[in-house]
Amino acid sequence: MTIASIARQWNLFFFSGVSPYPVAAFRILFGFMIIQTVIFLAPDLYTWYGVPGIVEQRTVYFDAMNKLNLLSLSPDSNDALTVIYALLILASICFTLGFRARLATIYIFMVLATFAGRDLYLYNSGDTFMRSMVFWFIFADSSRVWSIDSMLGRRKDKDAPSFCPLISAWGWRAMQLQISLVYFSAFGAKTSGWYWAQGEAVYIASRFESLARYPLPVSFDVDVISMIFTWGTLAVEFSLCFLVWIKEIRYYVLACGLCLHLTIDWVMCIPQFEWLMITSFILFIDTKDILLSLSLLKCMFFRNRPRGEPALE
Amino acid sequence: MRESGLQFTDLLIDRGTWQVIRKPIITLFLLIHLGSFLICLFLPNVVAARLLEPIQRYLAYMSLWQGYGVFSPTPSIRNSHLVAVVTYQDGSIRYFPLQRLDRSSMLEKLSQERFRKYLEDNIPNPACEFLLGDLCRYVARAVDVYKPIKVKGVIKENRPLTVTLIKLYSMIPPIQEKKPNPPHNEAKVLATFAIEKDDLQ
Repeated sequence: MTIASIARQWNLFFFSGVSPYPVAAFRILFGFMIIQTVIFLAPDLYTWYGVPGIVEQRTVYFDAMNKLNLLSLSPDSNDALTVIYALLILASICFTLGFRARLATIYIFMVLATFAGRDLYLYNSGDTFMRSMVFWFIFADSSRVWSIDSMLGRRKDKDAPSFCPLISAWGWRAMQLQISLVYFSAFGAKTSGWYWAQGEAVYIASRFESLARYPLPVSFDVDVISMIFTWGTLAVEFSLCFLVWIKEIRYYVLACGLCLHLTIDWVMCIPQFEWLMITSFILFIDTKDILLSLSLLKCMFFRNRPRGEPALE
Repeated sequence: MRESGLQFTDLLIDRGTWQVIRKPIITLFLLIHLGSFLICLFLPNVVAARLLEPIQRYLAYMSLWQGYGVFSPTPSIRNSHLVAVVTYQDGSIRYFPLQRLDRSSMLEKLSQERFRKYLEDNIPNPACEFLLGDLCRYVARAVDVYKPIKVKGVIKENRPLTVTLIKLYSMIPPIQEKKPNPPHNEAKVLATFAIEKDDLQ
């Protein structure tokens, strides 16, 4: 290995031209997650971020000058919050549809950062992940396909090629690495825990009353079952951090990750986190497989269409 | 790759120069961000904290701190909920239950996850003691229903005087015992705060 070869590999990894479909597909799915978050904020918006709020501004604003804070536009009333929230709804829809997507992304990030600065004590890992991914979306060319922006661009530029242009890989790669960081953190933090080593962590987690949802056919109260699920969780998180980068086994790793998150989502009510992670898996799926899945879905839902009709753009 | 339309970088620099410097700049950007995100994951750690010093103000400004330790290093072995006991001017006492997600419907759980995080994870945490006063004032405002009224020329009121936060909890039984969760029959007083009239505004 030489510095020149590392530089070449780095260049290939971050700066080669790649298909825009995985990022665009993730933008749409992630956009629905943002819309869901925004809807969930509505019932208690003023309790959490308003004046005076469940956490008062003076408690968290001792370093207000050092935080991105759109609420400082109207610090003594809820007017700014109302406007910011209304625009957040609009921006979330624009982001999902890919209309002025980059502008919408920047606004969504600013609001999420503002809300996190206003009351950090409400947030779980899912919120941190969402904020980080929105940050990377600012730099990813996510609206090159499957977006209103791309439709308008084609209409405006008659000379545009009929094929889909490639995008620079680095925004997409940064998102993939962010996902690996999440699993690295989740796996690494657990390895020092006694209950994880003993194989009892899943049993304990299944006994949280405020998170409980539906039971599984097997009971975590049985030692062996708890051990299998506890150590299985660690194995899958490790795989999603490291092994997912190996092309030959990637889909098996993603399938295991899917099973892990769906099981957690069945047993526990941790809103959004599981589905955020599941939707992010699409960034690891090959474009041809995304397009194939889409055409299969089209065949399933639009069976009566003439066969000659093109399935994809 | 086909570059068309106005790019964000066009506002800062001409396109030719950008094409020359873009790779080193993006590389530096990626190294700083992904590197600092990775280092964040090692906190609390003296070396990690020292390495993050030059960039910590930026990370704080952008709320880009990282940490995904779900149920780690060990999951909590308690089930708990909070109640507030409010004493009024006339000596009467009102019991104010704060949100309990274990008694919420699935739909409520979805939208009230932030209450769970705040009330069950952070409020009982000794590191978050500075939040207790705010929560007491929030409760006081919520139960301040007997506002001043004039009765025969005399102003009558019965406003909250003190708020006490109590954590009710029970331990999850060890796996070997094969028992159901016990009710939350242990209690710990987290704080008692005197409420001023200004707090009720």
